[in-house]
Amino acid sequence: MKNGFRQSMSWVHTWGGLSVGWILFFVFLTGTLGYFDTEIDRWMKPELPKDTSTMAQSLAVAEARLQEKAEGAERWFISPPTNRDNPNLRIFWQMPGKDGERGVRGNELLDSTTGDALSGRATGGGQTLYQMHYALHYLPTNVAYWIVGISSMFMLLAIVTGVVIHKKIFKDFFTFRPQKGQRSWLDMHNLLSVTALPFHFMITYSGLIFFAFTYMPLIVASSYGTGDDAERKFFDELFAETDKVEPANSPANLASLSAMVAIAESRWGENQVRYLDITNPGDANARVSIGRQLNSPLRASPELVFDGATGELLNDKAAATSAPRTVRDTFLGLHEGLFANTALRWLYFLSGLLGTIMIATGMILWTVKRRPAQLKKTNGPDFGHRLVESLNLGTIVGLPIAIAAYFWANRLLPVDYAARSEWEIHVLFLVWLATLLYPLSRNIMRGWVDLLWVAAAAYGLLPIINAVTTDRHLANSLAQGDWLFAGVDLTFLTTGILFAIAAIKLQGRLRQAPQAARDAANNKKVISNTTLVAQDVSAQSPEAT
Amino acid sequence: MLFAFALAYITCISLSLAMNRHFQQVWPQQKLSPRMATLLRNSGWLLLILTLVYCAKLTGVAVGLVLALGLFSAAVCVLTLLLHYAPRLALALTVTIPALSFI
Repeated sequence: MKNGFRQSMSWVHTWGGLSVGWILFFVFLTGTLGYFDTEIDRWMKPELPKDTSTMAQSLAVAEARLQEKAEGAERWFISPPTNRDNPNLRIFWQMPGKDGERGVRGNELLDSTTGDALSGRATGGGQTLYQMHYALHYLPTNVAYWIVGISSMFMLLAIVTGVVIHKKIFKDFFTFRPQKGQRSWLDMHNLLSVTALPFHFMITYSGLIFFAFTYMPLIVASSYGTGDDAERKFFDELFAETDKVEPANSPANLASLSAMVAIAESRWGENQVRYLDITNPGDANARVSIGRQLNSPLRASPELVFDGATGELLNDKAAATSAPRTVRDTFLGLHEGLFANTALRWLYFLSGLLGTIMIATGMILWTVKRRPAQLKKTNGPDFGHRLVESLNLGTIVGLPIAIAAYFWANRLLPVDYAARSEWEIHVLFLVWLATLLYPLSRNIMRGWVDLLWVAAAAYGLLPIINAVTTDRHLANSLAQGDWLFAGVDLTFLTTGILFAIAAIKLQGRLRQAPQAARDAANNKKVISNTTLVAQDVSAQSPEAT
Repeated sequence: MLFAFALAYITCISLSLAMNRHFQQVWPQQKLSPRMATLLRNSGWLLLILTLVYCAKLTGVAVGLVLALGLFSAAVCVLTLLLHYAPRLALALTVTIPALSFI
């Protein structure tokens, strides 16, 4: 610990940030991809058709299929393909349970023109990718929640201390001075942090709220006691459905769903129906709740409740419930951004990327600051320094490569291979492991160039792999106006190009580096493994050479 | 939506040009006069409020605030990089983006 308030804060910022930086990078990157989870799902199941059916068709198909699969169910749920989260018609059902046990559940994706069940290849999809940002992988979920929670707490600390130690937060608001070594990295770190500061704070704080019941169990335990039963009782009361109707046990036909949807659409406008939630279908006490598209961070839809037997409108329910619940839901809703339309979704994605790169620049700054002193040591850089440099490279470039490998695996693993969705993930982590080990056998700056080129190829070639293995390639999707597939392919291509630009720039810098330093790197292989090439290449301004 | 971004962008450029350091990135030969600085800063703050109001009008207050923050993040990043790499383009965009949003 150092003397003085600002120095102390700076110490916390540096070491707190470093200790969990790699986990945070993983969490931020996979979480950012989560803003396009449905789109990635769709891309990873190229067999599924683009749904172009009308509402009436979807409803008819869904109802017929539910009658067939789940007559006498306690609950039916229909998600028509009217929004981003449901590109294809989805049905869900739950049969009545016995003796307090939960009944059998099922769900299906349907082709709403033919009524056939859709399956598509087995894949982890965007969901698995996004779930990793809070549940990690290969770990018990509770352990993962704690690891992510502690890291998030450090992140929150880093955000607050970062604001404290930033001396010229307003004066330097628009400042970026490239090619000045450490100064440039700090400028970039500041720019990324400050411009999206509200996002960084919101996302970290709300991330902690998600698992508040896990992190602070004693608050619930003080009123409900400890143990699984107490926990279940608490959640049952917290999320209780207040106006649940018991079945009358006398059969009655379900009134016309499309008539109810017509009433909802006349109030809300076309394509505003998000779901139909039907309790006790086929009973005299059936209820149909029609939910509206999300238009606020509240996470819940305003609903119209109909009598399922007569089709009469009973109730108009607002989305908000109690005040504390509303506050919680608003934070969680802001975190998830499910209410965001396409433009806002891209802004969310961009903000997430800014956060990811902010973490990366912070980690790089740590090494850039220490590199000159480390290089002067007679035995070469310390083990700790080399470790941080290797982990940085293996994570900052390695993880994006690993994620690209996940997409490659989706296209290249045999479609009928039983364990394919598990192996997609194994491929991701194997490739990441390889990129983490790679810097150990290579001079660190050369390693950066190599892996940047690998990343450029990994993303740049994805649209081509897609074209070779499926017929939903860029030319086709552009011709058909399928912006989802085209968007994913174009994003891959752009990512590849950006990595290539980074590789070319870094290569140029390495060439500019003083001859002496390069000779030292080539001739004296004493300190073979890491660093050494070019006394801090990035610190060399062009004027100096 | 593009118009909202245009508003956010013009807000940012007004506030940045009110600082001599950035003023000279665009006009290296000139010096920012105090009157000009005040004018730019005040119109910047005014535009900031306008952007917030416009976003709130567009999508409602709750989502509008989220939208405005996202737009400002994007605008500041784009502007900061442009001020260094292509200051003339940074200036030209104050006209181009609003024009595009009306097409």
